[in-house]
Amino acid sequence: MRNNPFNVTKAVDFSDEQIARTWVDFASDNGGFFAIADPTSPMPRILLGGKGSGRTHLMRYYSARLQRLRGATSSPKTEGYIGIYLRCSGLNAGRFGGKGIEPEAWQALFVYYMDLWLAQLAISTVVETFGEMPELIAQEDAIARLVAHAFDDFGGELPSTLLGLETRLHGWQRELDLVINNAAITRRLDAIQIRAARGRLPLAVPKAFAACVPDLSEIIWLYLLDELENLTDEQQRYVQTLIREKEPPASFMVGSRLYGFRTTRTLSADEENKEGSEFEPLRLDRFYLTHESEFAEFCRRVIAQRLIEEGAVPGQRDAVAEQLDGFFVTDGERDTSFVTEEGAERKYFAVLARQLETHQGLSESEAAKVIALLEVPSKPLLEKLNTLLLYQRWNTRTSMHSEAGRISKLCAAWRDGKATGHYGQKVKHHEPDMYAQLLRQYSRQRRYLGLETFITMAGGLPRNLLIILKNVYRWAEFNGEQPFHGVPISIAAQRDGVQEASSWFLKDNLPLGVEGENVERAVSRLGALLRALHFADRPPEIRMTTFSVDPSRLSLAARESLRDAERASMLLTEDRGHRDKNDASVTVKYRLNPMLCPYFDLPLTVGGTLKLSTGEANAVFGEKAPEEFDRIRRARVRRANVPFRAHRAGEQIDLLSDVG
Amino acid sequence: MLDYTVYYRRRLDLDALRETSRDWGLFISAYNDSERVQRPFEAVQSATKHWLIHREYQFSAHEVPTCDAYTPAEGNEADFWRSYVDLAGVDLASQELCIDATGFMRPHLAFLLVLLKQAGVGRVHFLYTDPERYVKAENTQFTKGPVTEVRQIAGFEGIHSTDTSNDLLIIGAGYDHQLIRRIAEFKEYSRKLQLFGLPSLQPSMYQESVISASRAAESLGSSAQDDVLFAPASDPFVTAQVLHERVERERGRRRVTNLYLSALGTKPQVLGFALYFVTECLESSTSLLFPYAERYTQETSKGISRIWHYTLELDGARSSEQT
Repeated sequence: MRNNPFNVTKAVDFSDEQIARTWVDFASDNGGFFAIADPTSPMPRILLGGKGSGRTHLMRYYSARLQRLRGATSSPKTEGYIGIYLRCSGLNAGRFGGKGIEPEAWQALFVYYMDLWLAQLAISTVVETFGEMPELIAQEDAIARLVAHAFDDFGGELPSTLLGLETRLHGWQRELDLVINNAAITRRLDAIQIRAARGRLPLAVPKAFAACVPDLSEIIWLYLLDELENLTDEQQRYVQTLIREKEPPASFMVGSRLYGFRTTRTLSADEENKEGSEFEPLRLDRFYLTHESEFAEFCRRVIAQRLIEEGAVPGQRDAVAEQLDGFFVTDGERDTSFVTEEGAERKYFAVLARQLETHQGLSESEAAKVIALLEVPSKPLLEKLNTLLLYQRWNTRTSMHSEAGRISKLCAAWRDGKATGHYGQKVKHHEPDMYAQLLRQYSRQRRYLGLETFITMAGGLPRNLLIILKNVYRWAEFNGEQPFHGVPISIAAQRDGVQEASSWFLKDNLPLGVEGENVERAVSRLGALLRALHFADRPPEIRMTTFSVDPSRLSLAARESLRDAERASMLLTEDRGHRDKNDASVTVKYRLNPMLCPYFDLPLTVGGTLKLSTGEANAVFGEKAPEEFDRIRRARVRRANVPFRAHRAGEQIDLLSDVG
Repeated sequence: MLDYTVYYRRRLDLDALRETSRDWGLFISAYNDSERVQRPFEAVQSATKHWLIHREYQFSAHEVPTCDAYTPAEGNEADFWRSYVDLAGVDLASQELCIDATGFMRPHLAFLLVLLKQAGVGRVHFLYTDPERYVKAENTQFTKGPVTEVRQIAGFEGIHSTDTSNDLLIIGAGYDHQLIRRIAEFKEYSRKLQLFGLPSLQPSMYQESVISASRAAESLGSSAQDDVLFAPASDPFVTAQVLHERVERERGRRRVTNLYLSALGTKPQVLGFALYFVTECLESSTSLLFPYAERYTQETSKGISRIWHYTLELDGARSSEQT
């Protein structure tokens, strides 16, 4: 069995050498990633993104190790910066708390600890990168002394070598580690001397090198602080303080998962860092979504690179990228043969007949006459559409027979190539949804086929695409196929792979703690509501995965879940604020992440927007009991099903009320 | 050469437990609803017996024993033991001590070894009782409610290196895939190895734990699926030995920049991880990590299979030549 080329889905599973060798740039004609997040910019950048947005991949690419591997360090001026990469999780920040010790003492200790850590990293990075430079070797003594002078109390003899300096810094870090460790038992922070003022060391190291080695004075010393989500709110405030108080030649690029980015407040008199003033944010997944064609191109090249790297497909990357679509079976003409194969009777007409008799008071023969007008025996999709058009006229004063007659004429005219306007428009709008309904009514699964579909489904997160392909490949092999060799990957393998990837996304992207539980509940409720409406007799909107809501009117719990669901990339914000013409409310549009659509049997392409009332949104996103949510969901769905009324006689539901 | 397997380990039945326990000064067990926790406690004949009540089980006052039972104050594992020692007025170092590991929370069990080592305790006894089965096989959830925090266990916090280029995480895999996933994600960048309990406590349990771990496959990444370790689920000493040998092998290949351990499997394996740490890893770039949940299930198993008695010596590991 061959290796699955998509087994590795995370940057962390790649060595530095692999990252360097397999690097794929984004829209390289327009400057690529260096233009999107310029590492030489003195303005600090905050890279935000959902899990799998490629943030760590990018930040590692910017690190000095990778700079060395791509031969960019023969001279400091080649790329104009040096990348000092730190994973915040390496600080094991959780230990700076509790143990019967005041939070202020922990905060001071964390700040000092992080300063020592950054200073060591900066020294080791520059020595590994430019340690052979004659000017640096000649100035080692002076640099070490300059850094030592940045301490309020260096204690003992000043170091004359960088190794000596590093050893002293490491010794102090080790002392702190021991004290922190022992505090679990002693409940004291014994004999700690904080030897340097807050934030001085990470800035002192670049300054000392720049002062002594002219070539190093003209470059940016970029601290790449990744995995910020591993720091607490208070600890993140220190990172914000570093950003605020940075001095040339140092700068910062901070990477964080969206839901782990907690504050822009600093420790400098509690001031807040402002976008555009103290830092520039870049939300990678949103950037990808707004650069759709470039993202698709980027994805194709990533996949091609993988296939070539694993020996699955030979050739040049761009040429392989061009061939990718041919490796998958895709939907051609919408196949409805499964309907005709089951005989002349149509399930949807059987349902309609019952509805006409029950709710319109028609006799069996009258109902049959109405249905006969809607029939197009060779085209079940048109029959479904005709049924929908009848539902759209359900509560008019005209008789169902007249309405069906009008629909029949429009349909016939359209089929004859005449009078295509209104009916043709309806076909275009509703055909995908009607096809989905047909599939469901005949117990067939919806298909999500082809690379283009998978790229859409990834929702701007490259890892999602790799996980879809990993699962599709696995299923294809399991089914005895030879993926990417000759025969295109089957519908079955694609369908099963997509379903597995979709289920994984829901479970794997939940934030820690109660927030995760709340998000899971909210997304499951939203999915259930959208699915029920999508398969209703008269769906309120076409291809419905987008909804709008006025967050300011929601209960606190609902607002928080909505926010957390967005931060966990379960929801994508489509429109941050849109004033309603009728009631002056400011609604925000969200879209269910397309990765979740197969899980809920929903379409991938964006259609109409479902407007959720405050009560409905509170039921979906708030902490209401399941029965209460079900009651509100049923009421909403009832409006979309025959006889299209919100509630049964005697039932009192005020959907617009704020029942949060 | 270090050899943990020479330590003392034997199987007992309840009668033998009755006899053996007469030599113990203090016996401590963590209360829960399982038969395998309650029956050994009843059988033990030590001079003093104490129940400890974990708040994480969320028992109400009328559900727990009132005699010789202590509910330590809220806080982490270090606070738990400090509070118990204060409440009960006991000196853990001055008497022959036996702990029934079966009902304890894993971090609390691990911390005890550091505490005893620090207090100069040379030898401590542990009991562990195998269940006949877990109530919902591979779907048994030991945690109830979400993981709220992932961090180092108090006392196991290490002195870490700023170089994270070859960090290694060894996960003692248990039944709870949520825990495996959270740990793997916490040290996402590290290379990961899984240690499975084999032989398992019961024949079906190995398969069940593998099924459970496979649900966290995406978080574990490719390294953890290609390379797995095995140690008997009921043997802390072989567990420590396997860790020792594998880490030595890894270090022989390339410097391990930071080593992270997480014991999510059986309690004997937790003891094995903790024993390895206190013997070889104190004041090194090694930590023991744990994903903490707010609540735990009061009863996860049925029946009693075997009772194990282990004697851990904390005053230094033995070499095979010494025995």
